[in-house]
Parts: sequence; C-alpha cells; structure tokens
Amino acid sequence: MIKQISSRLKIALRVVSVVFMISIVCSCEKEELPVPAHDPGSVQTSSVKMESDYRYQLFFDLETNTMVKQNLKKIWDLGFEASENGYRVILNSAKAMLVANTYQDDFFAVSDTLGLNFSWDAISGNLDSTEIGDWRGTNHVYVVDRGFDEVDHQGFSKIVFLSVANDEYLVKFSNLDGTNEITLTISKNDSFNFSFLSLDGNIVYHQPEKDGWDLVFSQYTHVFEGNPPTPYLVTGCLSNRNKVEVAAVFDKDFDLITLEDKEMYSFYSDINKIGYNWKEYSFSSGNYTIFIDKNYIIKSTEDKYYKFHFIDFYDSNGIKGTPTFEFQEL
Amino acid sequence: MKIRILIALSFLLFNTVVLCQKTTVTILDSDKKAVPNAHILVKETKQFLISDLDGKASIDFQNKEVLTIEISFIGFIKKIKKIVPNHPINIILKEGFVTLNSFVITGQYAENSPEKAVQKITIIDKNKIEKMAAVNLRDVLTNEMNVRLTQDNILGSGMTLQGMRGENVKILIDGVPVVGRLNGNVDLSQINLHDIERIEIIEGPMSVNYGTNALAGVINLITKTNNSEKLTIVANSYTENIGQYNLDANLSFSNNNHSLSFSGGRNYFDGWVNGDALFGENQRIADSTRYKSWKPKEQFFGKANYNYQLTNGNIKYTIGYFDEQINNRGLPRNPYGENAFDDYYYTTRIDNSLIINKKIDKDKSIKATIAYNNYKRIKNTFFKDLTTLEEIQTDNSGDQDTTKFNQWVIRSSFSTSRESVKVNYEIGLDFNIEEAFGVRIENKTQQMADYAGYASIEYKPFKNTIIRPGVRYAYNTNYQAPVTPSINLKQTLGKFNVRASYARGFRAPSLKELYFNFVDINHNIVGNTALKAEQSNNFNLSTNYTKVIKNYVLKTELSSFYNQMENLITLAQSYGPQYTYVNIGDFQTHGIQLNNNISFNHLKFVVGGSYIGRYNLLSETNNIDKFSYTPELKSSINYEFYKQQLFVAFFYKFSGQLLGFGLGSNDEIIQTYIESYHTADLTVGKQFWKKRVKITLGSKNLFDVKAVNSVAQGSVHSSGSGSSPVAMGRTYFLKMTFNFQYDKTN
Repeated sequence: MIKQISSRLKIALRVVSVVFMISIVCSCEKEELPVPAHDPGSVQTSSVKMESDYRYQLFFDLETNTMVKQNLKKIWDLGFEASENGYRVILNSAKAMLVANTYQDDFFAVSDTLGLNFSWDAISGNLDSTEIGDWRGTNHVYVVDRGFDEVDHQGFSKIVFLSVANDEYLVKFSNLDGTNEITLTISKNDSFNFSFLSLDGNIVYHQPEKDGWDLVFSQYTHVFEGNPPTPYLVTGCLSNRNKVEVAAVFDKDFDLITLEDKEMYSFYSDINKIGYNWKEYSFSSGNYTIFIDKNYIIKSTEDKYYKFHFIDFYDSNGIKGTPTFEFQEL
Repeated sequence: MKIRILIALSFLLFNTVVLCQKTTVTILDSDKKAVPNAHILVKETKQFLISDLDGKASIDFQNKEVLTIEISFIGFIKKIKKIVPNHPINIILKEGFVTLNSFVITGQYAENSPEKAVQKITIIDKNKIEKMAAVNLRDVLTNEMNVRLTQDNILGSGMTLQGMRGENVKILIDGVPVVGRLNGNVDLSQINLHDIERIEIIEGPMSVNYGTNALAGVINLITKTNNSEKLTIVANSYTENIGQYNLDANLSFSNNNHSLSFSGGRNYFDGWVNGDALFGENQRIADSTRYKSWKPKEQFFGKANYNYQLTNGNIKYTIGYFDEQINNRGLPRNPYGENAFDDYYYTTRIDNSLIINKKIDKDKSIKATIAYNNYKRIKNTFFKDLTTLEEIQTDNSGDQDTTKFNQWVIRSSFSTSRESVKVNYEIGLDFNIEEAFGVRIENKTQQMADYAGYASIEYKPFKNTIIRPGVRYAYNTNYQAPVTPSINLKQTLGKFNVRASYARGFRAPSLKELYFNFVDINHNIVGNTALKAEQSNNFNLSTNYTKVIKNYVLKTELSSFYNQMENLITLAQSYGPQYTYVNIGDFQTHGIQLNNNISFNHLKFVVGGSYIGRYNLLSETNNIDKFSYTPELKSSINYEFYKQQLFVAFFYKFSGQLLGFGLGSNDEIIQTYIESYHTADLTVGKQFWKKRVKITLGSKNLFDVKAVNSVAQGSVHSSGSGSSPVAMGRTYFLKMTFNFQYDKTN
C-alpha cells in the first residue's frame, strides 16, 4: 500500500513540477534594453523653468540663446502702452485678470461688483481690442478682477485713468472698499513695450527692453469658444509684439525646414501664434504630450529667421513646467 | 469497469449472484418505472456505476460488509442508501427539481433549495466555474445575462446589472461586503475564485438584508469549507497564451471537529496590446512596444481558515491577504522617445472574518459575523530615462497618491425555519463602520457608521403560497438613512412557480461624495454633506415552469423587472466655478428575460435572451426616445462523458448595442453607443489517474473581440469618440489541477 502511494506520489510530483516549470519559468517581468540617445546635431536646445505651478514669466532671446530675464507672474496687474502716442492699457492675462467698466464717474460710489460685466483682452494681443479700450475723454471708473497668483485669488480693485501725455500717465486706484487709495504718475519709456503697474501701489520694471527678447514663456488666458465663451488659464509661449512674427509649419518635418520655406508660409504678429497648443494633456496617460508636427518659423526682433519646435514640457526629474525647445537660424 | 458490469449482468442472467459478494440495485422513479443512466457512487470503494436501461446496476462489495451508495440523477433528489451483500434492493428516487448539491443561503432563513426560495436566485456553481476555467469574478460573469462588463485598464473590471451601474451592486464574500470601490466599482478581477464553492446572484434590491449598494442586486460568493478527514492538497496551474501564468495551491486537513486550510497563489500577466505576439514575449528594447493597453499585472494571495464544528453549527475564522501590482509603462514621449512616465499601482487587501452559525433545536438558527476589512491602493509615478533606464519618482500634483478604506462589519441574525407552522421570521442587526482616507478627501480621513436593524416574516397562508414582508431601519452618523421596506410573494401552481416582489433599495452617499475636496486654480469640486441616499423602487415578476420526463428536464423561466431610481447623486455646477454632488435626476430601467434549461442525460443546454431598456434623462428636455433598448442572448452547451471523465463545454453570449444619448462638446444632442459583440468559449476537460489530475484546455473569446467602436458623451477634456476595450482577442489556455488526498486511516 505504501509502495503504491509513494509511486503515485512520484507521478504526481512529476506532474506538479512540470506545471511549476511552465508557470514560473516563463512568468517574470523582463528587464528592458535601453534605447540609443538622440543626436541633436547642429540644432540648439534650450529650456526655461517656470516651476510646476507656473509661477514665472521668462523672457528668451533667440540670437544669444539666453533667458534674458524672469519675474513672478503675480507682480504686476496692468501694462500701459509706452510709446509716445500710446494710451492703451492691458491686463495681466497670466493671472486670468478681468475688468469691467462701471460707466460711472464717481470714484467713491463704486464699491461692489454687482451687475458688472467682466471681460478680458483679445487673446491675440491686438491692442485695438483691449477690454479697457479707449478711455480718453471719460472719467469712467473700472473695476479690476486681479485674478490669481499661483494659488489664490488676489481680490478686486477700482481704477480711474485720469490722463495720458507723451511721457506719462496719471491714474487713481484703490481697493474696492475705498481703502488704500493711491494717485500715481506712470512715466513712459519708448524702449519698452509697456510700463507696468501693480495695484498694490508700485511701478514694476520687469520686462527687458523691447528689442532685447523674442519670446516669453508664461501662463496666459485663452478663451475657449462656446456659448458662453470660457476663459481658461493655459501655459505656453507668447511672442514679442515688437517686430516678432511667427509662421506655423505643421506639414513639414523640422529637419527639412529651410530658409526658402519662409516664402511658403504666412507670418502673423499675433502674440499667441505659438500659444499653448503644441502640447496636449492626455487623461489616459496623465501627462502632457508634445505634438511632433507643430513646427514654427520665427522672425526675430533682429529680423533673422529661426525654425523652432518644442521637444518637452518636463525637466529631467519629470517635473512639469519646463518647456524645452530646439531652434536653428535658417 | 465495463467487464465487471458485463460479468455482473451475466451473473444476473444465470441468477447466480449469491456466489459473489454482489448486490443488484434497481433504480426506479415514483411510478415504479426504471431510471436508466442514474449515477451511482459507492463511497467506500469509490466505484462509479451507471444504471442500465432497466435501471439496474450490480455492485461489487470488494470484501466489505456494508456499502454506502449515493444515487443521483438530474431531475431527482439525491439519495443515500446502505446496502449489504446479496440483498437486491429497489431504490425509489423522488422527483425534484434539485440538481446536485444545489442550495442557497443568501437572504434565506436556513439553507434552502432555490426552487423553494421566495426570491429568484441564480447560482453559478463550482462546476460552471471550472468548466469556464474562470480565474476571477469577471471571467465567470462574461456568461451571465443582464450583466454587462466594463473594462478600465487602470481601475479594473466593472459591471452593470439590470442596466444599473456597479455602485448599485453589492458584492459579498460569505456575506461580508467587499471594500475598495474606486469610482463606485469594485474591481472584479481582484476577486479570485480559487476557493469559491458557488456564487449566488439575486437580482433586485436586497437592501432589507444588506443595506447600501444592494439596489440592483447582490452577488454573494460562498467559499469552500473542508470537512474531509483527510489531508488534501490541490494545486492549480493556468496558462493562457497571451502571457497569463497562474499558480495556486491549497492544503487542508481536519481532525475531529477542527479543520484547517491554507491556500495561496500568484497570478501573473505580462500585458497585452493589439498586435502582441501569440505567445509570451522576450526581452525587448524600451521603444513603443513597452506600452500595453491591458496592463501587466501581478497578484499574490493567501488565505488561512480555521473551522470548528459545533454539535449544531460551526465557527469559522478566515484571514485573507491580497496584493496586486499593476505596471503602467508609458509610451516613450515625443519627439525622441528618450523618456516615459511609468505608473505603478499597488493594491493590498486584508480581510478578516469570524462567522458563527448555530442551530438551536432543529429549526432555529443564529448567525453572527464579525469582519474587519482593509483596502489600500498606492499610485506611484516615475519618470524613466529610456536611454539609461534610470527612474526618478516625480513630484507633480496627483502623481503620487494613496487611497485607503477600512471597514468593520458586525452582523447577527436569528431566524426560524419551521416546516410545520405558517409563520417563520428573521430578525437581524447589521453594523457597518467605514473609514476612508485620501488626499482629495476633506481632512484626509473621514468616518461613517451605520447601525441597522432588519426583520422579515415568511407567512404561508396556504401550502403553496409564501408572503414575505420585510423592513430595515438604520441610524447613520453622517446622513439621514432611509427606512427600507420590501415584500416578496411566491405562489406555486402545479409545475409553475410565480414570484412577485416590490422592494425599495438604496445607496448611501459615499464618503467621497460627502467629503470630496479638490480645489485649485482650474478645479473646484467639493463634497456635499447634505446628500441623501439614492433610492429605488423595484418591481420583479417571474414565473418558471419545470417539466421532468424520465431523464429529460425542461426548465423555462420568464421574468421581468422595473427599476425606478430617484435622488441620483450627480456631480453638478453649484454656483460660479464650483462643482458639487447633488441629489438630482431620475433613472429607470426595465427589462424582460427568458431563460431555458434543458437537460437530457448528460447533455445540458441553456438558451436565453433578454431585452433591457435604459431611461434617457435627456428625453425630459429634448425630443428623443424615452428608453434605449439593448438585447442580449446567451447559450451554453455542456456534455459530460461520465465514464471517460471527460467534458466538453461551450459558452456563448451576445451583448447587443448599448445605445444612449449624451451631450456633445457644443451641448448638442448626440447618439452615444457601444457596438454589439459576441463572446464564446470552448473548453474540454478530462480527469486522469483516478481523478488526481485534471487537465482542461480550450479557447476563450472565439470571436476574437478586442475593442468595439463607441461614442461617449463629450466633455471639455475629451473628444469622446473611440473604442471601448472588451477583451484581448482569441486566446488559448491550459489548466492543470492536481488533487491528492492522503487518508490518515490507511
């Protein structure tokens, strides 16, 4: 009997071991083999670090391949056109700012946002389509929604634009409840695009001179079409409104773009021509993917032509907010 | 064996049985007609015989003095009889609709036959689980009617029952709710069936007994209990050509009233993407082939249980451990494919339960359950440099995440099941304490306790009539729990059973819906502590007809249901940019179902169909159909060659097009759908070496379904159109089971 059992056991054990062999030998995760690294050749590569909460605005010059200047996006609210005849005022779209005209002249009477119709500047950066518009000849009080810093809403202010001359602006602003009232002269300097004001009460000099940079990497307000249209903070690249023009080349490989191509594509001075849409957030993979077919030709402030494309939105630690791009003078 | 029977028959002819230690048994039905092909199992000698055309079989005593035989046959109630040599005996089988070992406990006062139960209960027994070679609950539900499976390759396998979402289906293991609902669904592929004896499915609300979530129905998995006085070792291996390698083993033994069993195993899957090699993969370069749409997955599980047999009941303690790792290797990133984001998901489940069953007298029983369940899921994201294969854990918001659920369950009930009296009843207490932890839950941790009592009465005014009203009352620490009534009726009319029920069901707002907190610049979603439960009214009507003619059994069942749900918990814009959960919207489903079971000797044939309508909420404001209907068909054919210990089984299901309406990206009405598909499995199994080794092989998903076209509701973030994953194409599997029993008495 014992012999019988042991012989059965043997057969059984053999079967089990075969089964084990099949299952275990085949079933383990296999180590991958590395892929060869990409050779950039003569193309220049650069990246700018906005941090993962996109707190910085970074100004970049293509000719020198340098990041010229950087500032926290939250430090300014309004930009005043700095040219001699300029009068136009822009909102800091990096904070998703909004403004509403109260059509009232009584600065003290304005104290809340009830019934106001807030809106935004044109996303193309066209100065003829600012929401504040041509305020000259009126004393209308505007209520400003100061938008968001990296985390919080910065509250509301009211402002009245008192005058503009060839060399300066005069403005009066305060908190919505009337506290912290300030009347301030803002001088113009034509070597800059704008003079910048923080509604905390100070003038900010954060942008480089207007001929010294080509691109700024920043958050900005994009408006999704629909009914009603939805303003939404996006992260991307805006071009310098001074001289810089951009053509989108979506049907040609980056490597194949040559100087002749500048005749084939239309150039635009819209500041958001490059914009945010060269990347896409994928909900299935949970991260941003770069569109490989989105190439651009940029005419710089020095009148030179560059081909330009993005290759990443992450730094080498996998943290988002670091646009990485390749460019080459044509 | 054949020779032995021939010899026996020849002895019979010459009427010389006396000479040998043999006895002839004759199997008859209640009309004294012979029953051929009945199965006769001799317990002591492990002989297996089949009665001949005259219902006769001759049993060899092999030097034993008394033998115990067990006679079973479809359409008859199993009978056990002792026989002694040289005393031919007539054994009369009573007709019954009960097939082998078929009884149910979910929602019953005592073990009951499904025919007698006041509810309509579907059973998936071990036999079917084995024939389908099903590894987990998802696999076995692929052949169930009114069940539609959904697949999310990160969150796992979900389901809908009677057209209602998975969060309305309560999944229990031995009566203890399974924890770990992500987006409302329990991942069905995490529930392994290696130690499951049978699955009982009740469609329609069971909220009186089981409380929240038991709105569309209850799926109760009953684990095996070992009482054999032998050391039993069972080992299973399962290999599927797409890279699935499973191995599990079970060891159990008993001594007097004590029995212990240990089981454990590992399931490994190397991932699948359309176009994968037919067999497992080799080492490969870290290019786009590293991405798999069905993610590589490794599960380890172990269970130990101790059972103590009382004079009239038992005490059973079970501790189970489950561990799963899903590797979501990302696509190499554009444009140069030099790095990728890899996600790892680790799920751990620890389940403890102590279950006490005790009978007082013959027909009163007490049942008590104490369970503590623990669920944890960790997500880690790594940024991997594919040129060096180095990886760094990333720091973006949402990349690293931990979700935890803990649950205490204390249940006890007292019930009577006296045959002689007209009134039986059950009273019970059901306490649940649940704790949730997550980074997007207010204060990270929240708790909810639910103290419920329930009672029901089974009243039999006449012999063939059962009326069972029931009610549940609960106090919940976090929201106003509803009072839940139900009433079930059953009337037997000859060969017809008619069942009707009205019940209310409910789903408590989850801790996430009460305390969600996700606020940043572009998101503002918060929970709502003023939520009420989702509630439903359910009507079920079914009738079945059973006909038994000799060895031929026909069972036909026609059933219909109507569900009306109100106070649906929906995410909606509350004010400004803020979204929150509110009780808004109604939903309805209704359906009709026909099911036929035909058994003829060793052939079992099932064919059925259903037609379910789902309510379109948008029809309230738009000119569209109020209901969208989906047909389903199901069939299975199963033949057993008893003597050869061989079976062939075929399972088929057609899941019709799932239509609906949704809003497109510009708020226009669009038709949403998931295309129809067919699934079919074919398996063949044979036992060898006196049932010690069993080999099953076959092919799953014969129609080679991978993904089906679908259009879903559009949103800000997604285009909505695409395909839904269903399965991994046609696969081939081989399953080997090794079963060894060591008898201490030898």
